[in-house]
Amino acid sequence: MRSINQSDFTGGLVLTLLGAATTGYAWIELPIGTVRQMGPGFFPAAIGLLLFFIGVFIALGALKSSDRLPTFELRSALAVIAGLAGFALTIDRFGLVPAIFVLTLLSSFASQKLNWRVSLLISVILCVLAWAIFLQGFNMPIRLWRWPF
Amino acid sequence: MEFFSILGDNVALGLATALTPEHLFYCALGVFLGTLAGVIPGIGTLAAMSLLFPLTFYLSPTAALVMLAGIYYGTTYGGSTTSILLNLPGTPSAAVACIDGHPMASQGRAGVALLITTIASFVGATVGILLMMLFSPMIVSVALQFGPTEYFSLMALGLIVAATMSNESPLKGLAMILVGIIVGLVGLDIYTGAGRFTFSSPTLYDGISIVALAMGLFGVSQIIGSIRSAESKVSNIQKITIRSMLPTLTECRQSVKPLFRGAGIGSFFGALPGSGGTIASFVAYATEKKISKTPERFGHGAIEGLASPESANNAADQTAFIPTMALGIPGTASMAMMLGVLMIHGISPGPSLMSNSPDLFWGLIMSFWIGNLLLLLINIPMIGLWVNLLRTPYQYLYPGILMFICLGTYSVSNSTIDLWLVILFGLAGYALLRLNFTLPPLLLGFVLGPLMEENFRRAMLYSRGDLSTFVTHPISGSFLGLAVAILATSFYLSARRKRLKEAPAP
Repeated sequence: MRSINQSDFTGGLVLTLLGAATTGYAWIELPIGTVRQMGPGFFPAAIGLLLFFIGVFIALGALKSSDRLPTFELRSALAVIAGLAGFALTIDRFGLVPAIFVLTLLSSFASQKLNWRVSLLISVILCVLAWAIFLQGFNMPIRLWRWPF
Repeated sequence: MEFFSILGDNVALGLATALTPEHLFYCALGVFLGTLAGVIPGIGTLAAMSLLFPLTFYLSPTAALVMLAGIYYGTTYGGSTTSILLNLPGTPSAAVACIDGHPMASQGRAGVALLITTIASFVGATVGILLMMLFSPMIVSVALQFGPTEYFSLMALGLIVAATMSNESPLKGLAMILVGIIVGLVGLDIYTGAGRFTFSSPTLYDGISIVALAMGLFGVSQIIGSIRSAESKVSNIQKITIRSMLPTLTECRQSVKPLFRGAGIGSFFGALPGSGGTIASFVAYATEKKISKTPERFGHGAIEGLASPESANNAADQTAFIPTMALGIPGTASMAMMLGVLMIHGISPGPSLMSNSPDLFWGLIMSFWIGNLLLLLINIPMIGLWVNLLRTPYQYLYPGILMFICLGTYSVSNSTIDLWLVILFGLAGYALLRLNFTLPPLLLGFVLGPLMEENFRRAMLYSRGDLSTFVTHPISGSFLGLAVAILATSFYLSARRKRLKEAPAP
């Protein structure tokens, strides 16, 4: 196989698709209008087209040099995303304290140096901090506990 | 003389706004929290700002502004502290502080390095603030004559400078700006009320919140990237006493002139749209090295190599407010953040702000200065705390940072929709970082995109659809000419760099 700059090629390709999708969406869903009387779709379509071409140029430029695709820290990414999503799913239904526990326990999977005992301790400390700063300090209207059933 | 008496009145007005006990308290709190967030490794200035800005949404507008100023300076200063002690720049503009700051720390002169950074911040910012007070009124009087055509071209110039300066590949910088503009387009079209990219979801009608975008791009993506790399790092940071911070007489003498030279260089580059602190600090460093009688000391802990760029960086941060406040056009990503947050508070910077609400404008400028003063007073005794924070292993810190991201985002609109956006932008930002794209231009495009579209459409209405209006208006034409020249130069330079890099390989 020919050697290419894999990160630039991937990046360029993604940007090309994004540009095409933007222009396509604007073209189909929004009135374009004329240069004199521009519709809401004119500017997005133009920007999308520009991005499309820049993406193509980046991908073409990648053919001339070589570089491997970088490694992604999948475990970290998954654990952090799971923690955030867990927080988003629990805060409205169960309140702040359970949400912080879910966030901390799930996101602690990202690190190999955090065991569940330390994570529980961090959760407790964070709950106290959140209560002091956000509820007492800034009077944010968030419930500590909720029982939805 | 009349000019100065008006200026004096304005300063008094500003000080009266900023100096109430309540405002001083919030400014101090902002400085403290800003430094705290800025010091945490892996959290750069932009991430720290986006983490803390939601706290200000619960305050009265003036108190919020004063606290914003504190946060802004605190985060910049905190970033430099991390650079010096860990050799780990949180922001590109703090990268220069590593070159001579970290060798100083390894030689046991970390205390002196930190003190000089603090003083350099203060000197640079003070010079920048003075210039801002002098020049903003003049720029406003010019800007009042700008029409949509000029505004569009000026923004295009600013974005192109930002795209070409922040990345070694100008194409990638441009691409990031365009992606930012597209993200900024989400929401209702202001002219027709048509929903764009909203996918019939009512929550997207208001557009994407800058807090969600910044927290995802600069917070979540950085955390994902830092957890593993921080685990392998062993930190050996020495203890720092107040006594060890005192510089020797020679060191004082060596740093006075660089402090002011740096401030001058920084002020110039900061005021240019699109450039800002990073370039200013690199130019200041290069200048000091060139005019020094002992250039061989640079890179091995030369105090001039720290004083001048740090001063330049802070002066630039300050004069970057000139285009932001006087024209409403931010030149850097942190200015774009600042502008976005000001807009959330109902303040839209621009030529009319200074005449319509002078108390706000001058109050903000004065609170910047007070923020810098407090930075000096608070951080010198607290340096021990920051060192201890830097010693704390990252795995104990990141759950807390994530909690701040969650609560900060949630509190903006009391809904979880923004949290899902944070996750989306966090993942996208992480992927882009790994593929060697730089993210700050994206934020700049996000803030400037809607403004550009508005001015573009207005300009087209005035000119009856004649695109040549951008070139035939002399001011607009010269802005665009400059933009094309900069773009061409940077393409040429990057092509040459590529050739040079590949030439030695067989």
